[in-house]
Amino acid sequence: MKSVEADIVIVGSGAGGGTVAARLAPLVAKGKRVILLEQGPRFDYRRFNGHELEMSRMLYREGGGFMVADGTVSLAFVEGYGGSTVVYTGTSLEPPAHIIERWNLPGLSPDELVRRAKCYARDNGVHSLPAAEINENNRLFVAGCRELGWKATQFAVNTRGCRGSGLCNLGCPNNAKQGTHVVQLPRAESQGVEVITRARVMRLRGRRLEVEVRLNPDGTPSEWEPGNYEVRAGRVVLAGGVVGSTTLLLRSGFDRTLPAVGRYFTCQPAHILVAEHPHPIQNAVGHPKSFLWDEQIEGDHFFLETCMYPPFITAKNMTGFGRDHERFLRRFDHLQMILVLACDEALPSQRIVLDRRGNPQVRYQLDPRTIRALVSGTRAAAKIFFAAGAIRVHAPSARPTRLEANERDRIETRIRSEYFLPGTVSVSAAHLMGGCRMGRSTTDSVTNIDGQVHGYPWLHVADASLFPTALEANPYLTIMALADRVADAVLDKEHA
Amino acid sequence: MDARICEYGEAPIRRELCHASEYLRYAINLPGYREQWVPSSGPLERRAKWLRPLVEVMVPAARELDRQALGKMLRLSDAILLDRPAAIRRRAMLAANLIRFLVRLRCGPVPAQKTACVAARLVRLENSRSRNIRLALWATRTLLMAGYYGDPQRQKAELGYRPYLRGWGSYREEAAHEER
Repeated sequence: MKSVEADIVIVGSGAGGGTVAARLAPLVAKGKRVILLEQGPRFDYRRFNGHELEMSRMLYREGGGFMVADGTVSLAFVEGYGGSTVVYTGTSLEPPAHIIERWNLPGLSPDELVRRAKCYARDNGVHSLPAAEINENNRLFVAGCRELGWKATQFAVNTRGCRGSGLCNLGCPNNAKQGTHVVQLPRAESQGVEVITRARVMRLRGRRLEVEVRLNPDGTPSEWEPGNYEVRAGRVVLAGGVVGSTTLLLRSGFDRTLPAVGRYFTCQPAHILVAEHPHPIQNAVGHPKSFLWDEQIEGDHFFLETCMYPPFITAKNMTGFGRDHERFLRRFDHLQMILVLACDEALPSQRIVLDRRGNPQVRYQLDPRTIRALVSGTRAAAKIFFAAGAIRVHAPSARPTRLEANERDRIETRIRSEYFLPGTVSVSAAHLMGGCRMGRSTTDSVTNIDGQVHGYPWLHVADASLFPTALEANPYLTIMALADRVADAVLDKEHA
Repeated sequence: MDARICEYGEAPIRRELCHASEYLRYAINLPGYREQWVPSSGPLERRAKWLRPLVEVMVPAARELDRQALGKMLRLSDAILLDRPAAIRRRAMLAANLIRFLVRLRCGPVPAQKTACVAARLVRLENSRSRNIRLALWATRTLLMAGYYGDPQRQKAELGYRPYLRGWGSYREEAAHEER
């Protein structure tokens, strides 16, 4: 086993890890050694060819089909340089003040997080796309909302030089999306932070990290020779994402003193809904996710976003099979799509555990409130589709799943919670949160508001696993704001 | 080579062997190791005969596929399957076998000629009271649909979908070309 020493080791390179790396980079000039260990490879954007199976396999853990233990929800997250910022749609929302206030963590104010988030919004080129670059799939959503008297809000997105390939979720082939793989990580590396890819941290033994460096069949090779390493660190910042950071703490036995490790997992489970229009619409070109409607979060716990997915992902996420199912797919260029996201509750029983081999297992169940939220969201989406001129809608929680335009007055009775059968209805999630939540007490939290693990002043967490509850919004800017805060705490300690 | 064989929790000797095998393949750059990710054969493709009735019910257009085309489709499904950890692969195959057994129980040993019976059976299974049966059907359906709808050539030829790598630029060029 080879041995390496570092002053600070960051584990993970997504929204959290990339942010921390960029903030700590100036320490290198002061003689500190900062190493970032990333489990996945570096990706070459020129290899992003938009083919869904090939790209899903290359980018996502288990091809985007990492299933929760009971098999009813699939989780999508990336292992690689830039983490999930490589594949998100670039949607950049400020931290929602009412959620931060609900967290009720003294010392963590919404104003402060918003201020930090604004810095990253500037840094990462967040802006609203001009009207000329909004495709028809998005415009129909706005038109439907307007017809119903609802207010659709435009997402700000973090792109520079977006050409509208619409392939955000499969890796931007034009490198226009300003994730940490484009902004923060190259900056950190230029200042001397050592980024080691294909380096999997297996366990923490105190401040010693057991690391395994692997060959990479799909991307560039690791910066270190393949083999096993022991990395001795002065400080460790975990930013391996919800599953990664939590798994590492569990494997390292932190749950013995911190029973909340792995608990309070949320993921904002989502449905993809499709509707057919009588004429072809621009859907496969242009930014896929430009608008949202979130006026029902407080009442019915859901929000809607525009979306566009390629054929297999669409086929998989529709319910059923056979002629009806195929008919929608055969009219692919006529399809409008909406994503329904449920705001799920953070419960101690929804948790990440280890299986007998030490691999992560997510024990998550769709509870009645979440199912009701998905069904209410489906009804709202169906109304938007019909208001926008769709002739038929596929509703997973309707029997039969196809709703014709002449049934638009029967949406409430046709789409019902009792038709929502977990295991039959496809549900997926990409907004993973919790598992190492912030809080004041060791009984129901893992870290303090600076992301420092209770009782371990040398160990911090800086990713979405810190969230005490679901954010009820797209989380990336909030993750960056929190990671920025964690970086401040680490810098303070280093200076001290 | 399954990139995920060297999993956490494997016996140390197995992990070392796995790493050595990866290294050898990488060092001598075996043809197809880096680029060709669709296998030449796989467990689903080898079961093409008994999967055909299921495929034809789930994707009716697949009735047009001859033996070779069906094999190609199932190899794509195999690629997805083989990329999963061993436990998931085993569960997926168990699910496919369970669905096959339940269909044969109702429709007999040669369900290929009884599409209506297979369709009715699958609909019942989809609405089964047992969540495990529903999940088994969902997993089998998802794998088969990956092979059919995930094929880039079919996406373009039959569904009219293609990725516009240069976005609006290539979309407008294509539209102008079609107008001409």
